[in-house]
Amino acid sequence: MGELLKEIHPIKLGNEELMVELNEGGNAATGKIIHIQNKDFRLEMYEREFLRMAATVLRAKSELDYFKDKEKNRQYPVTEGGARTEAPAADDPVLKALRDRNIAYRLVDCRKGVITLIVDMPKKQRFSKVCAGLKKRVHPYCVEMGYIYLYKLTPFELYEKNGRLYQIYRQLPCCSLTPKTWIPLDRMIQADVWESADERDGILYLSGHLRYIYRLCRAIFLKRAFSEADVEELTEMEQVLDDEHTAELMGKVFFEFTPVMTEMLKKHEYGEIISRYLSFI
Amino acid sequence: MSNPAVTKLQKKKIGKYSVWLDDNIGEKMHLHINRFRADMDYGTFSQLCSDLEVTINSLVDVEGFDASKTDPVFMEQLLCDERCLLHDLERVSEEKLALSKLWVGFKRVKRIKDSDYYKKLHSDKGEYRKKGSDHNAQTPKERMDSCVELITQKGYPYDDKYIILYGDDNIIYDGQHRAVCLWEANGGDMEVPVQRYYFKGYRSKNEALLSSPFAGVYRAFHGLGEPENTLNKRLERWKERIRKIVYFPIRRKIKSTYYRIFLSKKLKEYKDILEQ
Repeated sequence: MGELLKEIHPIKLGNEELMVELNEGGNAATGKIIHIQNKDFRLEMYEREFLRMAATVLRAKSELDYFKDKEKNRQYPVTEGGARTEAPAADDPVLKALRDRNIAYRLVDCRKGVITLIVDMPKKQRFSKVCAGLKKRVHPYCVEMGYIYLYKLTPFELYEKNGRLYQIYRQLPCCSLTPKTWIPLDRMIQADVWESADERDGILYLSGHLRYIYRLCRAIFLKRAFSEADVEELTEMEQVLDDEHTAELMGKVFFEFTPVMTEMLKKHEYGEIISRYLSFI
Repeated sequence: MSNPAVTKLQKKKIGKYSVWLDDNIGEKMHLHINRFRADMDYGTFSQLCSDLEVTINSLVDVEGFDASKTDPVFMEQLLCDERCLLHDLERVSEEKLALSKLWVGFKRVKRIKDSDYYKKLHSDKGEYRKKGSDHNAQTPKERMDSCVELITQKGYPYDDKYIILYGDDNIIYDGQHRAVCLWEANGGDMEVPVQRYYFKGYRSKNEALLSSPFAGVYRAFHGLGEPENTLNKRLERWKERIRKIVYFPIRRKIKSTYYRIFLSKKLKEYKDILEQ
């Protein structure tokens, strides 16, 4: 322990106040020793390290201010076109095989010839064995292309059968703002996937509120734009916004921004949602 | 558990500490120091930054230096890099200098008019982000445009932020973009106020070059004289050293196909340089 030379300045961290103290010790190369402490806590470092750390925090603040300011003035207009969700054929061989084998599944999406399914299968069990003739294809978001799957999210799989593509999820995912990163949505949402379903023509769809959240996340985080098709579908499904359970689940994704988001969705301000969200402090 | 909207603001390894800060939209800001994490809302974070500025000023205690008036990007990248020059700051002086007397560039210095910064001002390129002193989400073009706007609307010096030089050198370390914009608007004869930072043990570029292993090249280039054969021998020796340091270890590190393709080009480049 070095001898206290002087108390430099207190740092406020919420309700706590930490004193920055300069202490004897160190050498010419490292500078003296700094203690950041209160009666319960102490962080010790050299003067040079402290200066670097303080400069890093100040730089982070300038980065944050720049990012928020930039996003505030940025436009994310609704893009033309987009694809609406279609209904898959009732006799789809893969869906039929899943039913026959009693494997729990939910149809997440079906657009432009790609059926997206979420299946409840052990990680190690190969999906290709579910139905004969499924050919594995390289997924564009595969690990080899530099994508990262965090929080134990299972990498997506892509199969082809009779010219139709099947994208397989094991958990309901969401693209992160960190580039090339995918994460699973909150545990509560994952549990909700299997607790409810919309059944149409013998096919189990993801329940309405989850489809709404999934579509919303896809537009905001993956595409960074709402297409006309997104707007149409979200508007058609917007009655789910009145449900408290939907608000609770949305809160697990958008946290404190959820009330603002809900209000904007109800007012159909789709062109401003992304900019407001990314600049939210 | 998982917020998809996490933006990494800064990440650094400082001594034995791993420090990173991220913004979690809708939640709080996180400051991580190793495994310790502090959660802050924007108000607390701003307060912390103000406190840190005062603390830095108390620690540095040099008249003319004010952390709150110093560009955080410059402070973090140049003053507080591995060498931590800020710790060795001895005095700050102000003077007026003609723009034509100033130099820009780090590895290769040029006059403002001949510099890449000046070219950027007249170029449509630079839409994509490059590594450098820009903000994380800023392109070089956006930076130049914002600087032009700042100089046009608020003038120079704005908010007591000056062009910064080190020691007696006339090389700009902070304010290259501003200098270029001022040159464009007023020409090279314009005299601008600049700040000089004097550090303990800092050697000017000239001094450092004359005592470096490349002193021969430097002397030859500036006509300071060194026999040609000595110069050639020096160059040969350095070529051999570079071959040992760079070429062979890199070849051993080839791992993936992509890396191999990239490296084969890179290696050829090295080879061409060494064998020319």
